[in-house]
Amino acid sequence: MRSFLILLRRELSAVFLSPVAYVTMALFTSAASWTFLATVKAQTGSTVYPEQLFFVSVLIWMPFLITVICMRLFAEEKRSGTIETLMTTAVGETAVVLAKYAGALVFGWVTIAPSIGALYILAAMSPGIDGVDGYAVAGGCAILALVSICCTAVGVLVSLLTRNQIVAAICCFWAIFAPFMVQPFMRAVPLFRQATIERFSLERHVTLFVSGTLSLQPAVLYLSITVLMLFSAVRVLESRRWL
Amino acid sequence: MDTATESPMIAVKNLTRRYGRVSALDGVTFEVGRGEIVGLLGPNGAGKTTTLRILSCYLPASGGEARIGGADVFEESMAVRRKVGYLPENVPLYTEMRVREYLKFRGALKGVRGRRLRSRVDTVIQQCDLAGEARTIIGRLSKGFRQRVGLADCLLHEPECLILDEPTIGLDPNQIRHIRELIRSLAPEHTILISTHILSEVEVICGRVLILDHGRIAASDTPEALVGLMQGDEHITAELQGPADEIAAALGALEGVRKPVCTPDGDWCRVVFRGNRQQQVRERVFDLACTRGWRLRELTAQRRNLEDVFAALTEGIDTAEPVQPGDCARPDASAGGEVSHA
Repeated sequence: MRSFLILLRRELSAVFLSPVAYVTMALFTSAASWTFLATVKAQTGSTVYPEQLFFVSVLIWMPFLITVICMRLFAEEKRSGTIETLMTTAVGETAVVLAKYAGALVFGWVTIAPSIGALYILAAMSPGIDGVDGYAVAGGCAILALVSICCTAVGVLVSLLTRNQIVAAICCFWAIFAPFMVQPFMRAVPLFRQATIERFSLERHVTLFVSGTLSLQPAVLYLSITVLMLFSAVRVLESRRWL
Repeated sequence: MDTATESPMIAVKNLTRRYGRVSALDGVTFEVGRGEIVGLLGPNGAGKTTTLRILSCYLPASGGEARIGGADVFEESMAVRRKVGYLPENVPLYTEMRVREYLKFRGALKGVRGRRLRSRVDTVIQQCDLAGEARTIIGRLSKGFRQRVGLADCLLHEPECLILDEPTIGLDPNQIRHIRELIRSLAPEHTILISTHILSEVEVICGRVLILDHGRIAASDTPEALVGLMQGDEHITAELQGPADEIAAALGALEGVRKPVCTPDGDWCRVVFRGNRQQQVRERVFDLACTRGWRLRELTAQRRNLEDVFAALTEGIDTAEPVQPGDCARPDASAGGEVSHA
């Protein structure tokens, strides 16, 4: 636990002392806010809740954000050779993987948080919007948290598999983007039933959570994938000692 | 009796490591006693870094056994890592951190806490002469200072054993001297296994040398003993004033003189040959010059060093072999050709 905290502190200081972090935050907030405002404008007159539009807008940019955060995690350590000094210290692989994961997750959440302000700013500026539903925002934050937890775990695993950051970025992006394509793929293939499609549909999960229905099924799905990815990441890091 | 202090600090038995079909280590066996400084020598690709990586628990072996301080590097990896301070080749560091900050982070990670951590960081900063750079960002340090930061990191948790992979590579002569003195000063309290290409460094620092070649131990002894192995023949140069063909013939007929090669230089003749030390060849050459009335202005035997042993063991080259005509720059045409008497 102590090693985990020491490594986490280093991860966070490395991230937040770098200008890249602030550029990423600014770009993500601008992109998500602009997408949200554009969608609101396009949906004027419809009955869609702005909360739902907002969380979908943030989720669209999620694969880019997680890719930027995760591409350097282990790939950079391998490239610079610091993985050798790290793994020859009396620190377990689990602590290393979890610290990297937690650092990436915290940075992701800190990057996403300011975007939520865009929702409140729009509500304050638009007389047509009565106000922001706090429960819908809480539900939206819950699904955002679940998706980011899952995607970051995928990113950590992918980063472990290569020492090249560009390769890590490309693989990471497609590994995270793939779940966004699950629903269109399942719809296109007539083998799947509607109930099955909905079970894996990210869009459906967002709608559920933003409408205030905190369903256990998506939570179990995302958390299971997260555990599987992190377990695999620990094993991949350990494999250096058996192969 | 305390068996822990009796047993060797590093014990390696039949260590094997394969990368696919390539064998990097092939049955390597050696021991390093407590407080010893042992140099690991070998040409590129001989298996030095692989050996050090296995001992530092970074790589697994394909076979064999390795123990540090009695703990098995495969079965008791954590215990071994606590006993070892490892400096990898090229000293990878977090370049965005400051020196003191980095050392505090590494110390904490190695289980050094509270006041002891502060005191250890101060001590290693002094030991490695880093006081002036303690607040400098590592990325802005010169190669020599980075090397010192790496060494300071190794010493933080006061390990029993130091494993240093080419600690002086890329340093200037002054920096090499400083690092060398530092390593030597660590010897009584630490067992040190050091890999290097700088043979003179090994002769100065190490009490014992292991020469690795093609994944096998080619030699293991003190530098003096290894050099002594090659003292049977010596490489002698003589400069005599007289006719080259007569000198070559006379020297060729002397007992103990082999392969004389004469290069005329005006009135003088430079002769390079191999002579047996036991047969007092230099004395015979001196007597010959006196008898024939040839003036003698040089009679020197080249001192053999670890470099000769290294070349002989890893390349099969005897550096005491006189340089044959055509092996190097040709002598001045006006000086005439060479005369040799095998």
